[in-house]
Formats: sequence, C-alpha cells, structure tokens
Amino acid sequence: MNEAAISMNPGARRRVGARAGSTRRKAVRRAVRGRFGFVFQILTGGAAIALGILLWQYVASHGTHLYLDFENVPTPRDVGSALLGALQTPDFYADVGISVLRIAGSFGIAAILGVAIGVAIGRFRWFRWAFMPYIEIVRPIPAITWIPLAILIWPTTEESILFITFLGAFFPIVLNTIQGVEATPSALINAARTLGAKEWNVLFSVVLPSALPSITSGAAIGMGVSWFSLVAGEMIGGRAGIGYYTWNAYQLIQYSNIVVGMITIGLLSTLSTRLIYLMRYPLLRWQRA
Amino acid sequence: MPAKRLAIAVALSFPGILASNADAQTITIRIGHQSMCTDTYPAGVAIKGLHLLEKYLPHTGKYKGVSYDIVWRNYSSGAPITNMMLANKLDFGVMGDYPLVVNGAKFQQTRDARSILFSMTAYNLDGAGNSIAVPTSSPITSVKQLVGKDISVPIGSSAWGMLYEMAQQAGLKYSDFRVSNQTPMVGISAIAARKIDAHADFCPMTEYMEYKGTGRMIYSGAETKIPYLHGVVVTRAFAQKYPEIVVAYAKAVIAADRWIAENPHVASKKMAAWTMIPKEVLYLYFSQGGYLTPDPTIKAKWLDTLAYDHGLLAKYAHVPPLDMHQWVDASYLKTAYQQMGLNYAKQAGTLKNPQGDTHMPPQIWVAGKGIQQYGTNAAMFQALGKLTAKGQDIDAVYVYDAQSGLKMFGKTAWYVKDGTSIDAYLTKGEALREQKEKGGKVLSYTQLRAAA
Repeated sequence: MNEAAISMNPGARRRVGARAGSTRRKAVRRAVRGRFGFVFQILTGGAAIALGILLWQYVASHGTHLYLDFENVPTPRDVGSALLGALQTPDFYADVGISVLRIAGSFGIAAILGVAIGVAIGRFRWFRWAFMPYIEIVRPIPAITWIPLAILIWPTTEESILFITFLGAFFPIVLNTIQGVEATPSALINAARTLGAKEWNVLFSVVLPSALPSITSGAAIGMGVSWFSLVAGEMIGGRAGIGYYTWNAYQLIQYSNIVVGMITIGLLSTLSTRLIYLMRYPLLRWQRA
Repeated sequence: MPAKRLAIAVALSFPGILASNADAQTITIRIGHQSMCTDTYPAGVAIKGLHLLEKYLPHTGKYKGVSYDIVWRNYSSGAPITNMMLANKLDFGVMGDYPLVVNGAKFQQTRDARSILFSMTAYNLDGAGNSIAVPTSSPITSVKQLVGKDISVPIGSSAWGMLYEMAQQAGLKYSDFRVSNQTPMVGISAIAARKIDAHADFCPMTEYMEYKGTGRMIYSGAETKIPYLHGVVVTRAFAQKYPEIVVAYAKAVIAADRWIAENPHVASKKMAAWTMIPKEVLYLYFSQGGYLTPDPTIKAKWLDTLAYDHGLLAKYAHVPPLDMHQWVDASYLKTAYQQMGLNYAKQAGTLKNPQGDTHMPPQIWVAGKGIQQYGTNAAMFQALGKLTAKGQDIDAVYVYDAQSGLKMFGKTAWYVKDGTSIDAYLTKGEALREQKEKGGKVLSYTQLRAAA
C-alpha cells in the first residue's frame, strides 16, 4: 500500500531523484530540483526504459544463455509486430473490451458493497461483531483458489469469473473503508452532533468525506488485485478476454502474443488504477480548500 | 543488499552445478507424457509402467557403467510439453498430431534447436478418437443443431482441427459455432454441469463422459476421414548426443505396442490402474475392432496427414513453416526394428481400418470373468438378460455401428429392432434414418433391455 502511495506521488519521486543527483554540479542540482525537474524525470525515465528495451533486444536476438536462458524469448521487434497484428484483428478488441466490462461490473459491485459494509462495520458495533469474523476468515484466501468452487456454484462461467474478480477488489475496499471510518476524528463527529446533525448527516457530511482518502487507496489496491484475479479466472474458465487471449497464445506456443497479452494487462491495470486516483481529486476538494 | 543475496544464491547453487558435472556416469532422460490422452500410452504410461525403457537402454560401448535417471513428467496437453522441450527441460515428448506439428514448427523457428519425430504410437485411419459430446440430457443429436451454440475445445489439439473439418463437410463455417478454448478437465466438468452446449476433444474424454453417464457422443472424428495420430519427438541436441538411447526408446514403443495388441484385455486393466481412466473405456480403444491400432511405424500417408494438419494450423493459428524432411526421421525406429529382428518395411506398408468390418462380434465384459463374444447383437442381448437375471455384474457392453463399424458402449448406442435382428447406431438420428428405409423400431439400450 505504501509503495503504491509513493509511486503515485510525483513529489516523492522528485525527492528521490534529487538525492541521487547530489554529487553533480550545483547548477544541475538546482535545475533538477527546480522548474525543469519534471523534464529531467521524463528524460531519465525514458532513457532507462530505452536501455531496458535495447538490452532485451540484445539478449533475445543473441539467445543469451547466462544462467537465465533467453534462447527462445521473443525480441521487442517480434512483440511489436505481434502487437501490430493483434491491433488489426477485431477479436483482440473484443477480448480487451470484455475484460474491461468484467472489471467495470465486478469492481463497481465490489466498491458499492465494500464501502457500504465497511461503513456499517466501522460505525455500528453489532455489525462489526457479526461481520468481522467472516471478513477475517475469507479475506486471506487468495481469490484464484475460489475458481473451481465458483465454477461449480454459479450458474454460468461468466458469473464465476465476475465473482472471482469481485473478491479481488472487495476485501481491500472493505478493510480500508473500516480503517478510514474509524479514523474519523471524534471531535468532528461530536461537533456535528452538537450542531444538530442526525446520524445520516454525520455519515454523509463527516464520516464519508473523512474516510475517502483511505477508501480510494483501498479501491486502488482492489483494482490491481481484481485484474490479477480476472486474468486467472479467464485463463482457467474463460471463453473470451485478455487473460483468455494470453492463455490461447500459450496453448499455441506463440511467445510474442503472450508478451502482448502481458503488456496489455499491465497497461489496462495501470490505466484503471490511475482512473481511481483521478476520480479522487474532485471528491477530495474539501481537503485542499 | 540484493547483491549480497545474489552472491549467496550463486554460492548455494554452485555445489549443485559441480556435482552434476562430476557425476558424468549418470544420464538423465526427461520425458513429457500425457496420462489423459489414450493414444500416447504406447510411448508413455505403458513404457513407464512396464519399465520397458530400462529394458532396452544401452550398457555397452560408451554407455558402459552408465546409470540412467529417467524422469517422467505428466501433462494435460501437448503445448506445455513443447514449451518445456524448447526451454531444454525435457528431452522427449509424447503428443498428438496437431501438437506434434506445432512442436516441429516451433523448434524450426529457433536458431539451432530442432526436434525430431522418430516414432508414432497408434492411429485411427479415419480419425475416430476425436469426437464431439453433448450433455446426456441435451436435445442435440447432430452437428447441424450446434449452429450458434457454444462449443469448447482444447485449441491447438487434433480435436480442434476436427472442428474445422467437420464444419467444412457439413457445409457450415467454423464461425457458425461459438468456439472457445477449454482444457479437457474443465470441458468434462462443464458438460457434467451442463454449462456448455458441446465439447470437442480427443480420446478418452467423450467415452469417459459416456462411461460416467454425463455426456453423449453426437459426432465421431471418423467422419472426417483424416487420420488420428500420435507420436514421439526428441530434441535434436539429445538425439545427436545419445542416438542409441533414442533407438532404445523406439524399441520400448515397439514392445509396448505389441503388448497392447497381444492382450488388450490385460493391457486395459493394467493401464487403467496407471492412469485412473476406467478399463472399460481403454478396452473400447485397444481391443479388436477398437479405435486405436497400435503401430509405431511412420507411414508415407502420415506425412501427408501431418502436412495437411500443418496447413490448417498455419492458416488459422499462424504456426510457422515446417520442413517435414528435416523434422521426420524414421532411422532410429528402423534400427530398432532391425535389432529386434522385425521387418519395418512390411509393418510400415500395412494400413488397418478397424471400422471397416461392421460384423465384429459384440462383447460383454462380465465383471471379474473377462470378455465374452457373441455372433449377433440379438444373441448378445439374450445372454445379457440371462447373466443379469442370475445377478451377475456387468462391467461393459460393446457393440458396433451398423453403418460405420465404430466400436461403441452398448449403453449409449441406439438400436433398430426388426423382427429378431438388432442393429446398433451411434446417434438416434442415424437410427431413425435406417428405420425409415428398412422398417423396424428405434429403441434405446434400456428400452431394448426391457423389451428383451
């Protein structure tokens, strides 16, 4: 959770960059720290990535075998042409679309249920006593171990995949919601009560806004886990989706397509997590004011 | 910190590297096989169970004093075996025709790694072995009714190739069906739970479902007339280093095939114990008139078949080109035949079609007593009635399709009873057509048993 928070905060990254450049000349240091810091960050990051891709191209095209074996690993060039090929087939878009829809559906349900149950547990002790044991028992079970049982229980395979994806997102959201609700300063709640606020007003005007930063962190983590669960579900029971695409590539030993699948999944997961952080900004306006 | 950890890891793994170099007297043979793919058994579970490789491995010349470490690894399809062979983690791989072609082509795509197809295992000339199953309670009785329906199949398997062939022959398009990729195990449970309309697979999946009563065959790959083959590949690196071991493997396949052909009843029981596939299902394949003809020779016709399979794979799965002459090498197998005093050319010239004979004697597997044969279906059903009246348990009943000669479980077949003669058919549709032409009454197994 901490790592995610740091990497999402550009300021933190800038500080790390500044420390690394501390042996350089003062002018450079000033430039890096100052207005042009962002440009240097982009340049350094871009150069590092380019170097990585060059290294990959080298080891893959030479079939380097130094403990790690790159003999049959596709080169970036192979992956690039496989990606271009995929982008020209409607099936690829269908696979991506279906995965995105599955995430949207199950993550949406997980967010609504997770926040509702989290708030209830955080606010009402009866709820806490009754529900917390369930959360504690089920939470540590990795979502993918549910796959066989989910296929058995749900009427369609589609629903079982949605369920597994839901599980991935649900628990981080619930736990972070509870944490956020409990961390609401009691002084604020008491002040609101003194001003004549009903329980309902306290919940929506005080507790929820106060818990929101914690809830969105939970949602961001949940998004990552739900992609992980979705891909596992699609690989085993799916009939479409980006995980299914990757698994098919494996069945036909198409290594380039496997990498295309991996990159696509990574990209989709990053974009959707970013989306959550973007959505947080308007909701957290009160904090900045 | 990570550098230190790496140093420790290297230091820890070093003794292992040294040990394997120092101990040059042990040759490790790593084999990938499939206990859930019947046609691979002559080069897989049968050799493993009978310790045939140990019997033929060389111990003279450069192999004097050598000890062997044979590692058997079990997989649920050919793809992961090819993956492991490419990663140099397996030396031998046993798989079906389509995965074999993918294996050869994928190896030829690499700079200098190659695989060699050096022996087959068993075959069905017409393509029986692949089939399409529906849930027992499904109303579907023919492939035409599958249009617009969900069919799952292990992609890249020979059953997948059969779907293309079936669509073409039925005047349909592959895209008329909603085909998805599903492994055999998931497919079997999907059929049992009625979560998919149909599942296409290689043997023993459909027959296993019929035996369990969860699925029903509606289409046999025999209709495609494209041979159903399995074989063994070895990495060229291994074959060049230890050609005598490849010959020994070929001898083991020959011996396993003979063992199965000579006594399918015993072989089915033994292999059932090694694989968890019921003996009644295995007997359906390996008995006289059963689907699978054990024969390791690489026939001229097989090269055409594999080239045909490659054409489909190249067209629909972008499989790279395959140079057959570089890939297929029967020399190891020929040496094995010669050293065992057998005639390769003669065996390679034979082509057997078990479905050719529609007058094979129907059989009853009497529990604990073995196989009993009868002249006609009518006589068999009469005897069956007497046996069960005496309280005798029956393991299985086998009949033959009156049109195609395909061996089937008696309990899943459909029958046309006309007077005293009883003909068996694979599907109800087929039985109804016959009844229209020749008259009689269409009956299921249970109806027939009740009427008898």
